Amino acid sequence: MKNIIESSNYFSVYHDTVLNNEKYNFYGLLDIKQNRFYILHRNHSLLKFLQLVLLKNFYTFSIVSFKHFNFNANKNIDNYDCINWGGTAELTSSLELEANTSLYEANLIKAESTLLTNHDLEVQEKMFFVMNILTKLDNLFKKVREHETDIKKPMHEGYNELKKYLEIICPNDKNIINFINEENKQLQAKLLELDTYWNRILLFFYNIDFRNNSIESMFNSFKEHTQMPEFELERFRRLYQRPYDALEQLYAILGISREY
Amino acid sequence: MNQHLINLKNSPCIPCNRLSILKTSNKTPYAKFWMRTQHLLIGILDLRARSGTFTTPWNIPSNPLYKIPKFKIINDSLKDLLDARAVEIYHKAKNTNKKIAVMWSGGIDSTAVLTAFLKNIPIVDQNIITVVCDTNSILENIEFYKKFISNKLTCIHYRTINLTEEFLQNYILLHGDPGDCLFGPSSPKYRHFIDRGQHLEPWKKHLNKMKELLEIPLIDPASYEPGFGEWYVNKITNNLEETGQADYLTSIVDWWFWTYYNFKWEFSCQRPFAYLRRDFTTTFSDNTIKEFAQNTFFNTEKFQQWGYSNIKKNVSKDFSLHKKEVKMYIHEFTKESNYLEYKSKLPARPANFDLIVSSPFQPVYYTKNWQGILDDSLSIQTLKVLLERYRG
Repeated sequence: MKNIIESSNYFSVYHDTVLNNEKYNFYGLLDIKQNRFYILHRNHSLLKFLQLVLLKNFYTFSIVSFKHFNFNANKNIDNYDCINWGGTAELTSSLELEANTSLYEANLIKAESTLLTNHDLEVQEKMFFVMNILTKLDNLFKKVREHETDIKKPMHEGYNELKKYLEIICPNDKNIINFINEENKQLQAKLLELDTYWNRILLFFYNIDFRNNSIESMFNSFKEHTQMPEFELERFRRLYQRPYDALEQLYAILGISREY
Repeated sequence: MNQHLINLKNSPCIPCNRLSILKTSNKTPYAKFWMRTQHLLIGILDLRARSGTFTTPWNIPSNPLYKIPKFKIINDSLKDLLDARAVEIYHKAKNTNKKIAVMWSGGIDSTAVLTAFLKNIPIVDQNIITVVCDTNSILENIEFYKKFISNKLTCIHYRTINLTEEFLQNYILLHGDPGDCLFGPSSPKYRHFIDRGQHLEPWKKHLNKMKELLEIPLIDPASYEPGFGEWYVNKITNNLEETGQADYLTSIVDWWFWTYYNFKWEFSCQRPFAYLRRDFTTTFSDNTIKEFAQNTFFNTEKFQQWGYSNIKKNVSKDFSLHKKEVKMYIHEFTKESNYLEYKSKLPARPANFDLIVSSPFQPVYYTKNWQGILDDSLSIQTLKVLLERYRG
């Protein structure tokens, strides 16, 4: 592979659903030492997580927000060519985890022409692999989370109103507030469990040996991880089978055919 | 023989609301008939006869701890029975150093139980009572809560309780079930007759209509199977005649009383074992199960005989007087005339509503000691075979 665009994990930072005024609202992970962007992505949270994974493996990347960045030098920068671009000294002179793009002098510039090694390309592809799979999973979890939040919203609101009135009717009562809090907590139980699953996924990627594993072995290990009893996949299936069959969709992301 | 078959011989409950996951074949209609019984039994997960013949897919015998006492007409007053039972349990709790936990739904039956204690336990000793309830309980009887519970009694949210052996070592757990079997059966199943003032007429005269009404695929069209009404009404009627009660329990209301009294009683008494659990893997000792049955407030010979004796009184022509006797008992204590006049029976909510613990994680059956068994392939297969072999 000579360029990341050849990888099956490649994606463009511009996708069809992005609104025009949001076109440049994305971020890049800039290798401080090489002064090259390795990946552009729109999800700051996921990028922050990837940054942590990389830090753990002693790769130092800074996050650059393109929304506030002068990248006139290449207004069409995308993932296939970002590795050829870096920032002016203002961006790379300090080890800021979030680059300060407010400085007027912070601009996009062409990277020095030193050749990329195979190792560099491997690291970049691994980053694409992690972000690709996490983005798909994040979209799935977001969809389930939004549905769950939406259907519970009227109940939460009802409880809040009830609390207000019962405090008037039964002053000094301690049970009612506790009960309503408890019931509100129970309403959120499925959401909290979903967070637990998401955290398990993140922890897997954090713990994996990013340096010494190939993409294939990382992917296989992840699939195996989801099948471990501790992952509680059956519970996941039962909890989130409606309205979306979340397990079915998880399997589709992982390329696993489900046994019936 | 596989372990599931051994367990099933003495299972106290095979929840009918979980049977749809078995996906039985359509060779005979009886599996569907049995699955459909769940819609006649809101909050009741298992149906079995305490007396007479009533074949089920599992044919598990009724537990003698819940046997029907001798059919006998007694003249005791409900007030005396409620008072005496509260005093008896209070002394038992004191002697065994246990607390009394009353599951209070806010409904008529559990309010009667709680009232009996508030009335008969000295105020200084009322800290022995813990009320197990939730916001819905408060809302069902807000004035009762305000006057007699708020800032007076210890309350625990029922969702924070996990019914275990240890819990029952520390508490005598009480609830209002099976009040419907004693104070008059719920009305929805014979609403048609109430609306026409026919509910006290002989069931023999209305059998065809009773069958027809159960044919309507009301709740779950998917499990609808033509012939269900005929099958179900015939089963109950045959049992009623076989047990020699058909000449005493003659009205439509009596017929429905019998479905409660004979078939729903056993599970109804034991509902907390299915609905108040957080961990279904735990078990209960034989002795604890026995004590639970003995402590179940209404599971006494006297209460059952009172219900049997007063069925004609409990349901009058005017249905607003339903459960009048028990409401009068509460009124005597609370002096709430609105309650006496206007409070009507609401369907019992399952004592456990949260999604996490509800259907996807409910066991497909329970072992003799109330350990819940989940739906692995062998348990499903075993139940499926039994259900498919069922011939009504």
